Amino acid sequence: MSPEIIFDPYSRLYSEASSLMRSSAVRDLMSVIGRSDVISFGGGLPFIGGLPPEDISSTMCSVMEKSMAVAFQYGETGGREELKLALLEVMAAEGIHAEPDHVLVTTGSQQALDLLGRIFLDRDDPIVMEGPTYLGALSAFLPNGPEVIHIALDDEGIQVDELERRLDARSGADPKFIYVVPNFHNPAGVTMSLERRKRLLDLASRRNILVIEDNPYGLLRFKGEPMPPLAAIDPSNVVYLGTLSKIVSPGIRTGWACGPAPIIERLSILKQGADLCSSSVNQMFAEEYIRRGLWLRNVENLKPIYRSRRDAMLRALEKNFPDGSHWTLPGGGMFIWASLPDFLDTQKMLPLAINEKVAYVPGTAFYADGSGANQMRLNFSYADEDLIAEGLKRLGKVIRKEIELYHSLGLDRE
Amino acid sequence: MKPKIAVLMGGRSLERGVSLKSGRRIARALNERGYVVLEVDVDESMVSTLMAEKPDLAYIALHGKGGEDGTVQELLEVLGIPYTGPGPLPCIIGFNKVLSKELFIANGIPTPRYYTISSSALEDMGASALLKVVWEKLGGPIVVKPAAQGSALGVKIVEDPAALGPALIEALSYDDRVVIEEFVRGTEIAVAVIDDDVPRALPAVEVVPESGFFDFDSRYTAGKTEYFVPARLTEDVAAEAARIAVEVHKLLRCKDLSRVDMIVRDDTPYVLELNISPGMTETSLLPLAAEAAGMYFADFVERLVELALKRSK
Repeated sequence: MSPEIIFDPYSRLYSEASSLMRSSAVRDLMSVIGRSDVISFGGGLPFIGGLPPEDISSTMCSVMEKSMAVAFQYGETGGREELKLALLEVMAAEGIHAEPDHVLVTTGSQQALDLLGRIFLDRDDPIVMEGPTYLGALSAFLPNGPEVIHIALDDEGIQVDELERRLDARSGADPKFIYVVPNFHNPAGVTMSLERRKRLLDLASRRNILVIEDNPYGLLRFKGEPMPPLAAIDPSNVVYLGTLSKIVSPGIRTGWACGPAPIIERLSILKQGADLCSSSVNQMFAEEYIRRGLWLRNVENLKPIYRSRRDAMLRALEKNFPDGSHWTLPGGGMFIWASLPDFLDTQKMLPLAINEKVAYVPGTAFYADGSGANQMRLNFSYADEDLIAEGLKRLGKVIRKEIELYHSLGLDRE
Repeated sequence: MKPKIAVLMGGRSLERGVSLKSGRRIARALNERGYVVLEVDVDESMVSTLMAEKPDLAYIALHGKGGEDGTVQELLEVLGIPYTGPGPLPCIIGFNKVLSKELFIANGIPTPRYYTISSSALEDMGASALLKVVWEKLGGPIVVKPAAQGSALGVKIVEDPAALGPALIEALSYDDRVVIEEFVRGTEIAVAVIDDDVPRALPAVEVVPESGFFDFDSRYTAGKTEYFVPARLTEDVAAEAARIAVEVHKLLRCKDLSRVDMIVRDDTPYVLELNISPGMTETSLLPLAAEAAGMYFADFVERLVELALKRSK
């Protein structure tokens, strides 16, 4: 939604795929997120302040000293072998044991999503996504014109029974893939239970449907051991996506896909045309950082910070949100997903919130079909505990004012 | 040496993003023409920055609240810094659709029939019961807009009375008061007025939605709107639209530049609203109109600066 008419003299030239691109429903309003006076729960920004500057600079210096000629030259499309070995170590921490040939280094896992969409999807091909789903996955898949089937989440993750029912009820081909974010879901915060993981994989395998497992947050668990990834349980039918963005830094744009060799090969060919190769400098930084064990230290430092912020947010929600609201209780990650009374529309309410200097992402951004109108994603990794308390106080006030308005218009009947 | 111009942009309104684009483009153009340019992203340090820098002119490239409603103009009056566009009172009136419509009506300028409702009337006086009456009196479809908001935000075209309530809720997110207007079906045009002591209208730009029906989505989605400049109007109608635009500009005591949005139905132009700080990005309407009149962007911006500087002496 742009505040003004946009005249584009080139519009007749654009491809159909580009016209299917989805401008985020709130993109223009979200430019206000840059405002320093707004307490924003709208971003997905990890807390970078925890990265020790000396670690970063010494790692970077060591890369420069050792191999500048390599760091500043083109590399292999598939990624540096040394980095792949380091990434195997990162995956092993969650129970995936793979080989370098099954790994493709990408420029952020976002690139992997883009490439996957392009190698698999023709127009109208059905795909299964959770409801809600990761916004970046929608951006990557939608330009290919798929039919998106959203399957609702509950406290244990994707509702496998519901998925099976919907697949049986459909006519036409089965979906090309099922895309899931099993750990500390973005935006929903929930984690797929072990039982659901097994049942999902069983269903997918029976019906020959590929599973794409996107796991940026698995290591950001506040308590207990990581859950086994789907890729560890059934490697032949899962493409696993990992990223260093939340556990090292998003600035180094380093992610990866790990899956069956033919798929990795095909992705690699497409990647050649996309960017020839990912940044050699970034890759070398990443592999050195991992080699030094600094990434583990970073993860351990982040956990208590995020946990404390999560707790502050949960307390503030309890205190400020009205009856009839509920929200998820994530055991890790960065997001809480709140549902307000049914009749409210969080997208319509956003300008009011911004006026009161608080921001969130409206729920409709996370669905392909306009669902989620009464929901919102709240990020707790970015602001500190005091700002979280103050921000939710403001947001509670906005919601109460909005409910009053609905009431005066007789529109608060659920 | 050429004068020092402070370009005020960004700020905290909801149009901040567009304003930054407009402002940067203006700053680049002025730089090219040899002016000393200071880019100011408006925040709490604005006043102290302006006091320290003492620019010869402030070019107001802010959009929406703060920039078009008299707020920044009042401050610049206190600081004694000349600025582009009209003074505080015209801004206050022009930014408020209710005040400006009443002024149009009082002066015989055609504008769509309307009513206005405030959130306090809804909450404290039970005004929601009147919505049916409003619908009957105006007849559908109806356009709902926030009364004081500088752009297309919160504007909704309502074809079904049941959708009126939700449209009000959306508009009331932007302002405490809404304008509920009859939807005039016709040719939508925008006329820029440039004021060199004698205001004159630039060729009208016609805006056409691809879908054929003028709904909100098509209006504000890139590529779904076509434009024609000059607008496809008969000479007489074009002249009348130009005359009305100039009259609105003079009535509201605008300065330097304004843009008047209208809809032409049965050869009558109806004024929708006046904009005193129109978008100046590469995809904005006003620079297109200027180009159609043979003015390149940098010339256009320089001309405005010269006009404003001349006025200030």
